[in-house]
Amino acid sequence: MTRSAEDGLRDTALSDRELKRALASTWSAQPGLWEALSTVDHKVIGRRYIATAFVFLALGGVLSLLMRLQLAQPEARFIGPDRYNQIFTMHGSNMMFLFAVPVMQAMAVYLVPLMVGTRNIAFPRLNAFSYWIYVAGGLLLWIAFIVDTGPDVGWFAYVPLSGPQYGAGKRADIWAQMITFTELSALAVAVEIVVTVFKQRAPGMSLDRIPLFVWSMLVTSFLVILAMPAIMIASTSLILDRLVGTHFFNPAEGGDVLLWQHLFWFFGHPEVYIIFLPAVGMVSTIVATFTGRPVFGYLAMVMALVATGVLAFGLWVHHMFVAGLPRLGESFFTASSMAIAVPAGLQIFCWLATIWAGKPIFKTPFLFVMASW
Amino acid sequence: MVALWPAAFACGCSGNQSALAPYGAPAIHVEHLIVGIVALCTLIWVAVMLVLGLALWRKRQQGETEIQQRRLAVVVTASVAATAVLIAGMTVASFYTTRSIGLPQRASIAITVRAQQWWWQVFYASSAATPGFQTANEIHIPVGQDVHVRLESADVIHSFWVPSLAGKQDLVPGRSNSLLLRAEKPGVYRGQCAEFCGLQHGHMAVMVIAEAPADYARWTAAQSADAIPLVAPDAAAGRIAFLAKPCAACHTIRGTTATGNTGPDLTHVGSRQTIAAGLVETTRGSLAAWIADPQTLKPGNNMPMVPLTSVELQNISAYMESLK
Ligand code: HEC
Ligand SMILES: [Cu+2]
Repeated sequence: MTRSAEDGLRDTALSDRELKRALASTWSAQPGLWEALSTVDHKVIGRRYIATAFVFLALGGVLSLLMRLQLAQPEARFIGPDRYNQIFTMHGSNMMFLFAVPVMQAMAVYLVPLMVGTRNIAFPRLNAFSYWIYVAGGLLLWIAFIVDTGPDVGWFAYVPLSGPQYGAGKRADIWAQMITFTELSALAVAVEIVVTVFKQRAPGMSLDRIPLFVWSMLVTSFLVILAMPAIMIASTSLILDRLVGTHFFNPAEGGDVLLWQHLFWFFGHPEVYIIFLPAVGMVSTIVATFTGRPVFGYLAMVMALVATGVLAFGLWVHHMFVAGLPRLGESFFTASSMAIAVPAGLQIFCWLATIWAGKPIFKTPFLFVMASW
Repeated sequence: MVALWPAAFACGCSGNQSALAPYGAPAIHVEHLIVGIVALCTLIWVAVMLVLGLALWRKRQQGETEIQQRRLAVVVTASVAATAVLIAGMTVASFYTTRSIGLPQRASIAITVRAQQWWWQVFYASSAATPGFQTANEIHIPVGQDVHVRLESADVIHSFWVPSLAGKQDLVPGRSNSLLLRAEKPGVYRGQCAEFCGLQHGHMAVMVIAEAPADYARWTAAQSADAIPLVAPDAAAGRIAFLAKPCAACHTIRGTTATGNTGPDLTHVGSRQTIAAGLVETTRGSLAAWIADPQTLKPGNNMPMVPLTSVELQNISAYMESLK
């Protein structure tokens, strides 16, 4: 293969026409059902991911309407306690594991490769796999609910209520299995995003030039990679306690019920930022676009994202303030929880400065961002 | 709809179960902190919104100068610094709130609450004046005194929360937690299990009755005594039926052969304001309804339906009501 001086960036000897044809046959989708199901194009999968997440959002919304109906009157007899417990557990699990995290990751699956200028996400097959395993987790949960085996122990599934002694039947097992499916899918996407951002950026796009949305997804993906193992350990230990007879969470045999809470919230708190940071990235991008000016303080914004990501792992105990931990520990986690307001404030001030210095165009995306203040 | 909001807020925040209507020192400290932080954050929010409004609609000149850029950088840096200072202030305020609540271990009165699905077992330790005794779902405390509540669980995690008197504290199996309870004013303060604990979590209320020290002393003396012997014929017949039925295997009535420990101590059940953890007021009718069919009133609870003839039911209800 030879390269001529004038097309120094080309790494092929094919003519324009031939090249176009070769690329088209490689990258375009063939018609047909099998092709549709087995596609590895990040745009198709990303759209599908977003659409699926919105279906779960709608289903979860129906559940919350049912809850509000039951709660519209005291002691109403619209839904019995057993079904009600399933409904609110389903609502929480559905919104956290099947909507909020997946929809943010789905946006990244669609947008990040486009924003860094690459044809496809890293590990495209893994990407397709992550979508399908996510669908499997969602179907498992919803089918179980339809046949009256929906989890009924809260989306946080505290032991011992979810353990072998008090969580009878298969309900908590279904919950733990759904966790395994969706966390696997989230981990896979996170790895893809990190590799795409580090390895597949367009020539000349150094890390300090990637859009802030990409930065936010990069930090989010690291959070996923570091946080999800905790919940997978927790849900696996729970399944072992329930099905194999181990005693990780059984105080009578030297287990500890607070171990569950530590593991769960070590994931559960970063989870908050896994949902929050992508949204922050979107706001930065929208504000910059609709004020016709680069975001004020790019470097500071990046530092704020990273700082939020790091602090996110130092706050989980604030979900356990009433569990009876030592006061000194509680004070530490109070301080670290408060500290997160500093990077959050920094971002808000940078947006304000961007709007101040720019010329706002009052189009719909910008209006949405303004309304969110 | 909007017109109804103030009314809804008024209902939600007043009465005897609200952190915003505090009647005990710990709750008062917490309320100050809540109100202070919310007020400060509201001020900050209003300021940010004003700046946002200005930023959106201010008159603009052509082009952006170096100097403007630098000025913006200074303002942003100063705002972040101010945020850090305010945050540090709020953190210190929260430390002082926790400190000023004090340690429950120093209190002179100690009560143990052992939560079960879905009711509260309450133990009063013996004191110089009275021997120890057990009761359920209703805690009496003297006004103006610190009370140490030791919190334990017999099964799953529950949470003891009487918002008008103190913060929330979990009851965790395998552990023992402590809470400082204190009321400054006599009254009935309602609490509610605040950690989801299964089917009847919603019907797991607790009443804290704060009364003058003399009334409290009278109450403890009455509670520590055995059940009084009976005069009314239906109650006496009810007592015989109660002891012959499975009731006695689950419930204790001191002074009788009933020594079960699965359900609440019924020695003075008639003196309690409610039965089944705040579900219904204690009357002969509600007792009869409960005993006839506990599973309809509180589906899934751990008291089974015991088959009784209507005469037995009437007599047992009369007996229960007489247990003052
Ligand atoms: C298997 C054990 C069991 C048996 C048998 C049983 N109970 Fe109960 N009982 C309970 C439990 C558990 C509760 C608490 C239910 C709750 O509030 O969730 C209870 C609650 C009560 C209460 C309300 C107490 C309070 O202060 O809230 C009364 C009254 C009562 N039982 C009377 C009876 C009578 C009368 C019988 C016999 C006809 C009986 N019980 C049989 C377990 C039992
Ligand atoms: Cu409870």
